[in-house]
Amino acid sequence: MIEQGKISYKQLISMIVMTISPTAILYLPTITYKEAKQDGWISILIVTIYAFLVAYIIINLNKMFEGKTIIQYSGKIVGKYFGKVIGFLYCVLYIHLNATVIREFSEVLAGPFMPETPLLFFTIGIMLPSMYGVYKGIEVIARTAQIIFPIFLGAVIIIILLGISDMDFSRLQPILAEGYEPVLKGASRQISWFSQTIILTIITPFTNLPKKIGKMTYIAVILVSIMIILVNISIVATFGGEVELMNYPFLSFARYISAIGSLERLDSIIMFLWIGGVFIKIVILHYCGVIAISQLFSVKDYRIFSIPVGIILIILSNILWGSLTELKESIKMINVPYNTMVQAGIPTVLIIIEKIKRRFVHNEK
Amino acid sequence: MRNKVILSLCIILQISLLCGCWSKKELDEISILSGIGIDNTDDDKLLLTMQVILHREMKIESQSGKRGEERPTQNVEVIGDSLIDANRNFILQTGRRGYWSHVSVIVIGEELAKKGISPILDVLERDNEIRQRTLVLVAKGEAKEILMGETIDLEVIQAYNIKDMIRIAHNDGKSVKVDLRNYFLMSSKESYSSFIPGINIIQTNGSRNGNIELKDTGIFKENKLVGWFNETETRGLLWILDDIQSCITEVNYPKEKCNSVFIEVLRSRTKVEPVIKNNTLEKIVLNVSASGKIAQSNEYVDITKTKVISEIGKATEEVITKKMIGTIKKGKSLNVDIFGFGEAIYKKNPKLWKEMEEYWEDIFLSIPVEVNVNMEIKRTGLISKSKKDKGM
Repeated sequence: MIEQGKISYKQLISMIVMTISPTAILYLPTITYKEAKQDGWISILIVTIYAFLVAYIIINLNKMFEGKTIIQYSGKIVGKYFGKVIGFLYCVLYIHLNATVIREFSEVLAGPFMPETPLLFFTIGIMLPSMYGVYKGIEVIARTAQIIFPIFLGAVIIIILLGISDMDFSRLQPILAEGYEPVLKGASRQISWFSQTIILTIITPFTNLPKKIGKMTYIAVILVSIMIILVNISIVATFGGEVELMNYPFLSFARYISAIGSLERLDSIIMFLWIGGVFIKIVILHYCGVIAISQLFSVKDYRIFSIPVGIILIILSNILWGSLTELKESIKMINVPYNTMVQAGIPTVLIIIEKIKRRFVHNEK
Repeated sequence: MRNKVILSLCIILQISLLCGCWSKKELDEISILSGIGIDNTDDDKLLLTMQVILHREMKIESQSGKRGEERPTQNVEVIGDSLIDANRNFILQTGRRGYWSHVSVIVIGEELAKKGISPILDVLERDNEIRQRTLVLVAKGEAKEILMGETIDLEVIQAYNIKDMIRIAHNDGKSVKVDLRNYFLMSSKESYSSFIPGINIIQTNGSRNGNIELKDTGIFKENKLVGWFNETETRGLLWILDDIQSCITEVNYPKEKCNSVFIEVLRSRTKVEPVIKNNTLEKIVLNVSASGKIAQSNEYVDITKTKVISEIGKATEEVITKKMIGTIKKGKSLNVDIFGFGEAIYKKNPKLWKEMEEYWEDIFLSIPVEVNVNMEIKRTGLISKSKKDKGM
């Protein structure tokens, strides 16, 4: 069955925000702090510009080939064989990225909450509904995202507001103590998150009014950026230099909250946030992976890939990394350069080639 | 019909999934701890005093409405090589696992504090059961005696009493309040020094184990106890750190008669301002601005005159300045920068701090500190003048 569903703009914003933010909120503050120290928020501002650039390229590329995904049009730009290679790279990207996310997800549940439970248990637990969601199609995923997104955003803001009494904003000083170098380094660590607008290359054809898609994407990127800056500032203002040592600073932050007398131990909210948010992220990436594979092999009914890809994801997320340390190291060493190349590099190259081609063809006429 | 069968099957299947998690902790397998005392033994092991809440006692109490002879808590003493080991040895004595999430105070014995507490700190930060809001205290003497000590029975669980003592005393400017997060933040800062409120046991007639009281502040350098601040110095420390919520200050006024006036400080703000000229640190200026009211006056004070009030304000400024300078002197004598001067310099001029960092200990000893206090007396209470005694 060819995907027939259509998604609205609100749903598109929710999907983009929910693709970037859930893991970013939990893992990014430490990663950024290691490089940029208290200037993490400046790093995020810088990386937001980068996110706009990537989004701009992807949106323009999609505009040139309306109603088609990158798997379909890359062949038209660089020829059949290179097109297949690019398509394959995207399949690998979505599956590898998703395996990373699933592993991050189960590490959080296993680390601070249920240390004795095997990871496989969480992985299977999240993949079963994910396979079902992908099987049901884009509309179901988009609606789920639309429901969870406001709750997610609200919970993050409430947690930050409740913790405000313990913050000391002087911990954000001095600003730019070591110049721009560490800030840029901190920004470079975040680019694999902020270029995840790459999901647009797959889901654009399913939106119902393709002209407004650019504006909506920029709104989503700004929302993500504001949310992550807020999280980053509140964590640094609360924990100062300790952030560097923490595995999950936002979780520690929620645990530390004690407001209005007895309102404390809010880790359960984080648990809810985390499971709801990451589920959407996993489903979207799973869906993109399945669509990419089905179009790469020109299979009409994408749904037959839902379960096999799900099983591959379960296996990969469990065998690729031995421990949290290994996972973090590989994110730093492999994911950042690889994701940047595929998420930002390939669309840039494609758009340049296409532009030149079109001008050339135009001149010939 | 067929749908109903499938539906009920689904519901039955869910029961097997929803009944619990893998890492469950049953209530009859754990014992909830309220306070921990940590001492070291002669052979370099840790002696943990773990205060267990006996929930059965508490239940009896609430049912009968009467308080029994025994406390609803019991202290268990466990020896182990490390915190984790001792926590496991706890099972050998009780048959239950200690549950740390509700621990409200951790008392560190003086001997152990002098030897250094870095190894236990790592566990306290790493473990997922321990809350960062747990308060830390250092005992003057042995920690186990503190947990056995008597308090007035407002709160049935003794550790929670200690927690309340610190919280309220901190609000009144009598003691510092340090939880695990504060401690880690302090000790990882530029100065590597920190402070923890002290707790003491006083032997009185009539009580079995002696009463406990908050007393002094333990000063730590690189996680080792190096000295104590007494009550005045603790107050001075609170002034410097901008941590005063409210406090009572005694002032002699008029001076020639040596009579006291008590000022209640209601609001205060302290700013640490390093003065840097030509890329060298000249001095550190502490600017305090505070406001307060007269809590107790004497017959010589005529509150109706603004001149008198401003004079009392001036006298208060002097007293506060004296306290702060005394505290800084004591800090210098212990060579610990717990006042956050290093951090203030880093925030103002990070480049200069990089150069100074290595020699900071020497610079800290020689750097002049200037204290400017600005005290405003805004309220005078419900009456104006004090009554005169007839005899005088």
